[in-house]
Amino acid sequence: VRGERWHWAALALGIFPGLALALGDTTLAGAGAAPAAGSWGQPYPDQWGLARIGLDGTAATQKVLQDSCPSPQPVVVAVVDSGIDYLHPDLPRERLWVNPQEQLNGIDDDHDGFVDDVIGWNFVDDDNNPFDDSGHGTMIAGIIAAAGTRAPGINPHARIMALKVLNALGHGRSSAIAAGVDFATAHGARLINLSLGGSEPSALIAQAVSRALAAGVLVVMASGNEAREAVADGLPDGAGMLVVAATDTQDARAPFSNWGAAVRLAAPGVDILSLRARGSDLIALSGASAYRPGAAIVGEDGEYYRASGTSFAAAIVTGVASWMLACHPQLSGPQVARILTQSARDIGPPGLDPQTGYGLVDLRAALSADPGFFIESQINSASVVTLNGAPQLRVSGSADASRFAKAVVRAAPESYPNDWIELGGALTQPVHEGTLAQFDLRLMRGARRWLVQLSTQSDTGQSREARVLVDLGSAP
Amino acid sequence: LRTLALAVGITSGLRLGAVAQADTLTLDSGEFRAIELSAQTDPEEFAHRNGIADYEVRPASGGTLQLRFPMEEGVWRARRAALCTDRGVQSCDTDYCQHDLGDANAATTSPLGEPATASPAPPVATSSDRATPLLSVKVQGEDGQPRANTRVLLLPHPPDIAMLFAGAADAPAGNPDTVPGPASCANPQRGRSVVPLVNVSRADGSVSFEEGRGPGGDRSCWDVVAIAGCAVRREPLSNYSPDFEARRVLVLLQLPPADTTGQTLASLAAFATANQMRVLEATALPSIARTLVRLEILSPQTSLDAAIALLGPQAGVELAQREYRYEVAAHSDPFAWMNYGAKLSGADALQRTVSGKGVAVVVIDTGIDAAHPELTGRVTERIDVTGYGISADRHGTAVAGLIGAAADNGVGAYGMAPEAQIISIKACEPESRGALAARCWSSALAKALDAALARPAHIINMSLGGPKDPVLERLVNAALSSSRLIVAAAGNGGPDGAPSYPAAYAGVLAVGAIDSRERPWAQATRGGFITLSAPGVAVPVPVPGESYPAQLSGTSMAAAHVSGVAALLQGAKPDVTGGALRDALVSGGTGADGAAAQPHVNGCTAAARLGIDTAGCSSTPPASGNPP
Repeated sequence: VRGERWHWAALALGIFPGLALALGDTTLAGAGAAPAAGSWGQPYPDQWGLARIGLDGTAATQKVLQDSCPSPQPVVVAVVDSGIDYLHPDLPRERLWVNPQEQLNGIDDDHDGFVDDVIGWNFVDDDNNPFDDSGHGTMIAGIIAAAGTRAPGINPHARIMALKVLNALGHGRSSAIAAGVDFATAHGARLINLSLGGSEPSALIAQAVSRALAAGVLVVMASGNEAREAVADGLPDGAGMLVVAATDTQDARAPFSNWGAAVRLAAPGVDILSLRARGSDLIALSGASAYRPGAAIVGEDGEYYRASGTSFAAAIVTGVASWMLACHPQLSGPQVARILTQSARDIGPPGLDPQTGYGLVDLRAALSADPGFFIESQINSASVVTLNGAPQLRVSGSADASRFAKAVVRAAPESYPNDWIELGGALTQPVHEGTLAQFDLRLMRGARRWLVQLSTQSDTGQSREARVLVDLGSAP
Repeated sequence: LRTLALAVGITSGLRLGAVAQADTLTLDSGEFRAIELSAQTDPEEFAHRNGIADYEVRPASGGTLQLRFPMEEGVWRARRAALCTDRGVQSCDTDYCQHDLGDANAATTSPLGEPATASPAPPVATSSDRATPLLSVKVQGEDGQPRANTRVLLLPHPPDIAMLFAGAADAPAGNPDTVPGPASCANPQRGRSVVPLVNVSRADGSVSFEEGRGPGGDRSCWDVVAIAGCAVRREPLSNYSPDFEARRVLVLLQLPPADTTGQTLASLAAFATANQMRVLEATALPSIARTLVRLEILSPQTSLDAAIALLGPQAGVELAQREYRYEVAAHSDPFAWMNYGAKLSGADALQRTVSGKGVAVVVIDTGIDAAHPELTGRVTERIDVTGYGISADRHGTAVAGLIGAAADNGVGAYGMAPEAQIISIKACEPESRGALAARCWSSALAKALDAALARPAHIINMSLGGPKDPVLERLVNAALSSSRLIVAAAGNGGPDGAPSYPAAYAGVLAVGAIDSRERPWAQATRGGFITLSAPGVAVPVPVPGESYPAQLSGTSMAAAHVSGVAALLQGAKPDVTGGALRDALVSGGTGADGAAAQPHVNGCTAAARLGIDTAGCSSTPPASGNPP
C-alpha cells in the first residue's frame, strides 16, 4: 500500500466509541419488564445481572437447568485475586476447593513445595492463608459460587480455589500472579478467573497463561476499566481464552469498559451485588474520592457488597462457563469458549465487535446449545493491493460454520447504510484466516467511508455478521 | 520429588544493619525482576553465576522455580538481554505491579450512581493533641528516607485457617476466671461498622491513628499495613502498641510476715468490690515470696488506667499493672526444608562425647506431645498454668523436639541433646486447636517461672516474646539470681520490631535466627540485646500425632537450639552455673559477620571455654559452610 496515495484510516475496530450506538440495534433494553426497585433504591432488581444472563430464579429456568444438566459434577474454579473470606456464611466449605492431598499439619503432604496449601495459597505473604483483606476476591467468588438467598452465585457446583495474589489495595506483583496461575494449572483447576490487569504487559503472566491454555484450562479475563482500547495486552490469544467486557442495565457497553479486538464476550458489570469479605470496604480502599465510606455495604450484618467493574463481568462469564463444565465435564476449555460465544446474545454492532465481542453471555442458551454448533464470521483486516496496475480492496478474515451454507461480503456507504453492494461472489467454501473478498476499488468511488459486512450463513437458516468501517481517506 | 533447598528471604545490607526501631514501617523500594527457571536449573547456582546476591525463590509450575530479586532500572536495562537468555531461563521480566479491575469508580465518573456530593467524614483516624494516639508510626524506605503519601491501614487480622476445618466452636472454652480466652480474634467480628481505617503518611512519613476508633484495647485482632503500589508491610498492631486485656489488672502483693489469715488479700478484695472490681484469682509465687492477684474491672465507666491507679496505693500492693499478651515466636515455613541445625550449632560434633543425659530443661511454651516417638520417656513432667489443661500442641512439641528429640530412631534426627529431660510448663494456649500460633499472658508466665524455680532444672527455654512487664521482670530476675539460664527468642518482629521481652531483659540469653547458610533471618527482630544467633529458618521439627516432621521458622527454633546445646554442656559439667553457661555460649560464639551481627552458637568452642572434653569436635570441625 502506498500511503501517500491511499490514505487509510485504521479499521474502525473500536476506534469510534460512538459506533456502537450509531450502528447498534440495541433493542433489548428493559426487556419489557416493569422496573423493580432494588434494596438500595435502584430501579432494577439487586441481582439484575444474573437475570440478564438467563438466571432469573424462576421455576421455568430451574427446569431448564435441571433438564439440560441431569447430573452436574463439581468443577474446580481458580480465583486468582485478593483471596476470599472463607468464613463467609454464604461460602460454605462445600463451595471451596479443598486440596485432597494436603492436611493442616505443617507438612507438605503432597510435595508440591507449598506447606499446608489446603484451600489455595497466599502469594502476597507467601503463606497458606489466602484470606481476603481487600474484598475484591470474595465478590468474584460469590458471583461464581455463593450459597444463600440474598446474593446467590451462578453455579452451586463450582469449587473455589483461593489464590491470593493482590494485596489489600488490590495491587499484586506479576510474579505472584504468574505463580498463582501456575498453582491453579498444577492443581487441576478447569477455569481460572483473572479479574486483574495492568499497564505493563508481563512476560511472566503471559507464560503462565500459555501453560494454562496448553493444559486445557479455560482462562477468563476482564477487559479493563479505563474506558479505552486496551485489552489483554501481551497475553496469548488462545481458543481457551475469554476476554470479557462489561455491560450496564441497558445492555450497552458500560462506560468504563475497555474494548479491543480480543474481547470475546460481554456480561453485566455495573452495580453488581455479591459477598463482602468481613471488615472490607473495597471502594473506600481503592481511593474513589466521591465514595462515602460504607455506602456500598449491603445487608443488616454487612455481609454483602456492590460494585462496578469488568472484574465482575468476567466472574459472571466464569460462573456460566463453570456451569457448562459441571454439566459436561468432558468439554475442553476451547469447546466451552466456543459454546459460550456462539450462544451469546448479540448486542451492539451485529456480529463479533470490539465492544461486546459476540455479545452478552447467556446461561440458558449455552446449556441448551448444540456443543458442536458454530457460525464464525470475522473480518480481521481490509487492505489495498494492486492487481494489474489497478487498486483492489482485499477483505481478510474467517467465515465458517458447523453446517456452512455460504458467506457474503457486502459494502454500503456509511451515510447510506442500507445501500448494500455485494462484493465478489458468495463464498461457497469456508475460509479460515484468509481472503474473503477482493474487488476493484473503483466500485467504491461514491463515498469515503464504507461499512463492510460479512455474513456467514448456516444451512439451518441462521447467520452471523461481522462489520467494520473502512475509511478511504482522500481516495479516488 | 524435587527437594527445594532454598527458602531465602530478600535481605538487603541496609535492613540487616538497621537499628531496631519500634515506631517505623519499612517498605521495600527496590524494583524487582523475576525469572522463571527450568526444573533442571539450580537457582542458587544461577544467582551466583549472575552475581545476584539478594533473591527469593518459590515454586512455580511443574518443578520450575521463580527467582525474584531487586535490580535497579539502569542495571536491568544493561543486563537484561544476557540474563534473560541465560541457561535455564523460561521467562524473564520486570516484576510489574498489576491491579484488580473491581472498582470502576476509580477510573470513571461514578458509574455506581452514587451521589457525588455528600461525602461526610472520611474513615481516616487523625491524631489530636488531647487523645493518646492508638498508633503512631513512621513510614520509611529501605534507605531510611521517609515515605510520604503512603497509605497506612488498620485491618482486622486474618482468621486462623484452621477454623475452616475445626469450626469456631472447637476453640477451648476454658474457665472465664483463668487466662483470657485465646480465640477472641481467630474469628474477628462481622458487621457493617467493622471497616478498615485508612490514613496517609505525611511529608515526614509519620502517620497516626487515634485511640477509641477501631480496635480499642484488643490490638491482637488488628494489623497495621503500609502499602505503596505492590510494596506491602504488614505487622500485627501489637508490635507497635502492646496488646493487653482491657478489663484486667495484675497486682503483686507483698504479704506482711504476720499476715497468716490472708487479711491483706481480703482487704484488697473488699476494696475491689467497693470500686466495682472483683478478684478473679490469687496465686502464691513462693520464688519471690509474693502473691499474684488478677482482678476484673466490672464497671464500664472505669478505665483500665484508672483502675491501676486506684489499686497501686493499696496496702501490700507492690505493683499494679496491665495483663500483657505474649506470643510464641515461630511460624510455619511455607517452603521445603533441610536438616542443618545440629551440624551448624556444633551439637553434632559435641554429641560424640557428651549427651546431656539427665539434664533437665524447662520448656515454658504450649503443651508438648509426650507420647511422640521422638520424645518418648523424655518429658518427665507436664504442668499447666493456663487453666486450659495439658495438651499436645504444635509449638511446644517442636521446641521440645529441637532440644531433646531421640537420635537414631528412624523418625528424624534433630534433638541437640538427645538424652536430656524435658519439663513441660504449659503457659501458652494455641489460638485454636491445632494452631501453631499461641498466646500467653503476663500472669501465666509469672506462674510458669515460679513453678520452674521450684524445680532443680537450670535451663529454662522461653521461645516467646512480648512487651516489657514488671511482674515478668521480677520473676526473670529471681531466676537469674538463683543461677538459672533463661534462653529466650529474640522475636520475629523484623528490622522494625520492638525489643521483645523476656529476651531483652539483662542477663537473659536472647537468641536470633540464622539460616542454613548462616545468614541472618530477615524476619528476626534486631537490636543490641540479642547476644547470639542459632539455626532458625525452615528447620524440621516433630508434629503432634505425626511421624513425619514439619518445618518451622522463627527465633523460637533458634532459642531451642541454644537450650539443647546448653543441656549438652551442662551434661558434661553438671555443676556449671547458669551465668557461666551463658558466658561460655556467648563468648564461644563464632562466625559473626559484620559489626551489627551476633555470633552464632558453637557448641564446640563454648565447651572449650568450660574446659569440657571436645574430642568429638576436633575430629570434625563444626560446619561453617553449606550443609549437604
